[in-house]
Amino acid sequence: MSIRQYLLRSLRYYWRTNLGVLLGAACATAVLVGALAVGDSVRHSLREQALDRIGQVDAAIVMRERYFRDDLAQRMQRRMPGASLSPALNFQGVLSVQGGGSRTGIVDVYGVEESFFALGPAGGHGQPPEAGKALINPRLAEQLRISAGDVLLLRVEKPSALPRDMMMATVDDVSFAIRVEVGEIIADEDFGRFSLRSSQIPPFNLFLSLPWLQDQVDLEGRANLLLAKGPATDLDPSEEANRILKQEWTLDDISVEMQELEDSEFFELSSDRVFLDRAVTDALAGIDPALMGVLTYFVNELRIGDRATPYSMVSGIGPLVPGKSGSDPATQQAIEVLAAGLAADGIVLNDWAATDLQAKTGDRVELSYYVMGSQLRLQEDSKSFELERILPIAGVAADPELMPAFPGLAEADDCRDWEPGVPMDLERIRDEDEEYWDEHRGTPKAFIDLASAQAIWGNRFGELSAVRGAKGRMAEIGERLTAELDPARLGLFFTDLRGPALTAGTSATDFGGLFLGLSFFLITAGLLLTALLFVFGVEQRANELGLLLALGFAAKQVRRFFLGEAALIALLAALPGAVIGLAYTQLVLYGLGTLWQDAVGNTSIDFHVGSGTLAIGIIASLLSALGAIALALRRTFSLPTIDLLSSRNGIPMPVADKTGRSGRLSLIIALLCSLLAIMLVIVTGSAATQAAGAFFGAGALLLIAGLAACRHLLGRFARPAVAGLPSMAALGLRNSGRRPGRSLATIALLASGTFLVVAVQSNRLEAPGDPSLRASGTGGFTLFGRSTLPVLRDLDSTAGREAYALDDADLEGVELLPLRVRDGDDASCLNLSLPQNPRLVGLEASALAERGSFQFAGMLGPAGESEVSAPWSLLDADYGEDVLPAIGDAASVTWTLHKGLGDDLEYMDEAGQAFQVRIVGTVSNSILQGNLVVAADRFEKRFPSASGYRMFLIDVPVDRRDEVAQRLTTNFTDIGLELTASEDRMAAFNAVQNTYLLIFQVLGGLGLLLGSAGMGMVVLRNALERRSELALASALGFSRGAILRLVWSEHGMLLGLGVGVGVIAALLAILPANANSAEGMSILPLLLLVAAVALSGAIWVWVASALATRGPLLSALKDE
Amino acid sequence: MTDALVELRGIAKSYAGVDGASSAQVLRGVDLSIAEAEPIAIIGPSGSGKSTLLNIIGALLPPSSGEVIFAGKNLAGMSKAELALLRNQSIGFIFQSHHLLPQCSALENVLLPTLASGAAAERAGAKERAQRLLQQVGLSDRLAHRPAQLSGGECQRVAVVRALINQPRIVLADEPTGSLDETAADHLSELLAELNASEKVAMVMVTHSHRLAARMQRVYELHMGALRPGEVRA
Repeated sequence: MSIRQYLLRSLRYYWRTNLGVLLGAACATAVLVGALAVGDSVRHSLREQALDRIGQVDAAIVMRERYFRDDLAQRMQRRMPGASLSPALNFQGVLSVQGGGSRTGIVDVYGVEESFFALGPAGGHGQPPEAGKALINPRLAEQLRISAGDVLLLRVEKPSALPRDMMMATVDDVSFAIRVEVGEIIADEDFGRFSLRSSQIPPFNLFLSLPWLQDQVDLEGRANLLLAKGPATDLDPSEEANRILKQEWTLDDISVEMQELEDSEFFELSSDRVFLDRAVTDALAGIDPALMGVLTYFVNELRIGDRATPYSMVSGIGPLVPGKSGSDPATQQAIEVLAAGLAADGIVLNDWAATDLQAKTGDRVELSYYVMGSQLRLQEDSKSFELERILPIAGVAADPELMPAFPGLAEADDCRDWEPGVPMDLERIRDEDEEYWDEHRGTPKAFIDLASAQAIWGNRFGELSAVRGAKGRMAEIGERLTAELDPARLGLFFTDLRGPALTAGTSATDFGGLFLGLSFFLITAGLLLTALLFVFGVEQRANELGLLLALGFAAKQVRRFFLGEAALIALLAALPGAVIGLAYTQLVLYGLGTLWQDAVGNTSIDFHVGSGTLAIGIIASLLSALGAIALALRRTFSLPTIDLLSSRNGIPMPVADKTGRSGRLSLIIALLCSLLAIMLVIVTGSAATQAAGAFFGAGALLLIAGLAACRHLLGRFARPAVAGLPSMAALGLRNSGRRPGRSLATIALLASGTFLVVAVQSNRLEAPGDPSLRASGTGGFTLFGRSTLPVLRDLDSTAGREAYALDDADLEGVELLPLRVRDGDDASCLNLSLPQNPRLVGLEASALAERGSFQFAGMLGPAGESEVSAPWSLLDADYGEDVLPAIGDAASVTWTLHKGLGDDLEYMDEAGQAFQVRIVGTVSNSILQGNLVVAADRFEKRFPSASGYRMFLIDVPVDRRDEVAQRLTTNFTDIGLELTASEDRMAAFNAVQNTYLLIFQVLGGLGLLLGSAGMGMVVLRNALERRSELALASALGFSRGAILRLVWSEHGMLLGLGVGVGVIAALLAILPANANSAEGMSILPLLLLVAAVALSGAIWVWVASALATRGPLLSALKDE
Repeated sequence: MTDALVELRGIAKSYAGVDGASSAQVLRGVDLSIAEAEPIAIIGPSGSGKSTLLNIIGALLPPSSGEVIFAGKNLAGMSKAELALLRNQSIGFIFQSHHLLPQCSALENVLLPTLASGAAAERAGAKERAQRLLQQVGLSDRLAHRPAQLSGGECQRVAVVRALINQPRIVLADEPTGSLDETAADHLSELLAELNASEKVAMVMVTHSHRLAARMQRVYELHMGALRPGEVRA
């Protein structure tokens, strides 16, 4: 006989026990493999979705509110053989089905060419949409319930070269509607899912013909999106594309026009954005600091005393760098004529204005003008100047081209047709003003020093409306400008799409790990059952073990035999276990697709399992089973050989501790742990930040206390009483103390299972009962709003409200906090992908600080302080150059971004400059989930073209909420405002955590069922070991019912103690978290849960008792 | 005395009481010398410490004091692995209960001790020896039978052969006939005597059967923990 034969013989002979072990191990393997396969499936699905989202695109130029020439793609293509480039126009729009019916906002509208679809995941759909026809993706079709042939009304933001936040920009005419017909629904794999944002939720996509859309929005030959697939080389596609871009870009691509002025000695650099970007003017200053800078502004009036000239242009004139001279003679002369030698408060009037104002040198001339204040509040400022000179309208002073192309002015025939985007009193325009406009158009009526003009009119969009130089230098200046200016500083640069998309596809949550955690109790129960059954099997063979040792087998050798046997069983269990595991995965995925959809943001997860995962799952479960068995075998192997040899029906019973020492020790431990738990609860109180710690700390201490108390009780039960045994139940109780380790293990299993399930139930998140509470997760804002198109005025001001046809009464008692939005990845728990560039929102920190909104979970001051009296002020604190402090929702930061306080995220601003967003604060369980909040002014500097506000926190009394929401939604239909009750928004976020808890409960409940089956095994084992005692009872005349009661009383008490200790520990541990909860916790589900656990345990005890006492008991006496 | 196979010098053994303070003295200064191939019997009433003494000789139990010298080596100085090897190679055990593995056949049960050596070379020939011995004890037609298919006497004969399979220098038999009827017991005692002669193996038999003890060369009696030469009643 060989060792192999011996093992096989043993396996076969003890097949009943081994089958039980095999089932336990298969169960653990199934859950382990299943959990890992769920992780694989989520990862695979996210990766597939990421690839569907970007197709073959490697890099892209993404410009907001700027439009390059669409032939840039062809220009670059010529220099990039093997690459594919496709220009596109991209806006967000609001879509409604014509004739009423459904409507949705935040639709991604793309104007595309055929080349776009060639970049799709599978080479693309091929045919671009026809003029007036739209291709839509399935999610949009589903959302609006539309199909081919349906007519849609698309409302998009009207492209404007002028930044919408600029003083002269109009809030009217911001959007316009286009009628389109649905041509076809294109599948996700045909690029229907294309998106620049990483999310597992498909976007609402609508594709139109690029030339047709360009025509509709007056952007002929323009695009704001350039997608590139690099050539098949080792070069980094985005780096290579940027290299070629730098060779091929032109000034036209950045909306800068360079032209020779008619009837003039000058060329002029200007922009249809009115203001030249600083990057451009800085580059020009580097080329020739003495070039003439012009800043022309629209002023409301020029006033000397009671005489006023309304609505005029005033130009600031001077060299690009103050004090610099020596440029070409024509430029130098023009500067000298118009503004040379002017004091900082000096002004030159043309003779028309001087006459109109009856001005003379030395008079104080007051200029009134609008500037854009914070939160887009248009405010009228004024400044007084001293009249130094009066110029005739002639030569350089008679130049209407000095007025930039102000929309609403430049194209007007009459002054009364002006629509400048600022409040104007047309009644003030006189006939002489009309005559001036007819004759001189926008020729400035006054000139001031350039630096003075910049000081009052400079803004984040620029400080010059034009730069001029002598015509003869235009070519040279142009060439040097394109050579020396980095187009990235104006947002013209390629960013890598593929890398971040694939990284995002790795999933913010490790679902394999998560489901391992969620299935923890089930796996533990499976392993416990495996170990328990195996050990019972070994105990049954204790004398075999003793025999082997007596025959001269080394203890190690014997251990190896038994572990070898266990390994064989675990191996045999692995295959069916893995197969069941895959079925378990399918079941979980089915759950995630139906009941538990909230946990995966309502996305579909496809089944996928890698062979590596399968192998890891099998090996891990094999090792776990072996580990559990080895651990459980330790006690058996520690017994003396002669005790093992003399054993019958299991290992010898331990001798009861007559000294009572261990009982006293248990009592001391129980008291000490209870005391510590109470102290912990008192110390942490109800502070939300410490609730989790208190829960686990107090929970663990109370569990230990409960178990120690049980140990003490068992010791007392085991001690023979002088008074004798009053009843069969008393004998049962005494029996429970005979194997205190086994009894305690049973209690511990039930107690910890009950503890977890009860604690989880009580940790479900509830939306705040009163959303107007400022310290709650709503911040006291009862409505949360998002709009597709921006709101361009401050709705908290009368002027802002009037601009949107709202009167003060509409918003009486309403506080509205607008937020700027830089689109990015959703960083909330609703996004499964790992956000690479979370959405940034800018707000006035002081507004939240004054309100005391939200509850901070953590903060980090510039000097590392962990407590700051006004945490919102951290947004304005200095954390170093190129560091933008941000505050986010604690759950988003921790679980979705995997960041903590002090961690940085790298961003790229509009000028292509990298900067860090540092997490300096976190707020608890809030409606801010998904966003990182930064200071508005810092936001504007980094993203100057992110116009207006597209997110709103609205504090409105709950009783007026519906009325206000209705009013706002109606008035802002065109911009696609969508309002959500804050508690509903929180409920959506809470649903994710609650679903995880639900899954944990379901899987934990299954584990508990399995655990109670383990308890059944203990009962069976105990009863079988003592079958001869039961036989004796039978021989002494006890009925079968009485004997059953004996077994019952022993194990029913273990069940009661286990469930009781678990429930008490859980309820006491959750006290801190629930102390101040207005809602309290739901008692009924808790009671049902506990009842289910107790019932399941009772059933197992009953089944095991019945099994153990069946058959002729008296034969056991004969065996004895 | 250095020629002795086993020499016990002043062996004492006591067990701690349940309360941790008191103790029960089982053996008190036992001295004994067993020569190669010498069969001896130890008799005494139940609880006199016979099995404890046998377990001490068989390196299953350490004495509380005193020395066990086996083939010139003090067991106290040996590691657990060395003791296991000693038990496997030099000592054969026969217990009151046969302790046959129910999952193995008679032949396999006999061969069980050969697995401990691990060396295939050492195991070579063991099967033939097992078959020969089983034939010798009258079980040649029971080789493939499992314990459940054998009678009590047959099981005990298998256990005897198992004790001899590794050609030990001494066989320790603890009440080997305790669970057998009189005929089977007689049969087994004859067999043990024959094997002692044919295998030239020392034998220590613990029994309370004077009839069985009478077949041994020397008889000792254990009384109140002390060993003294015994008298065998006819």
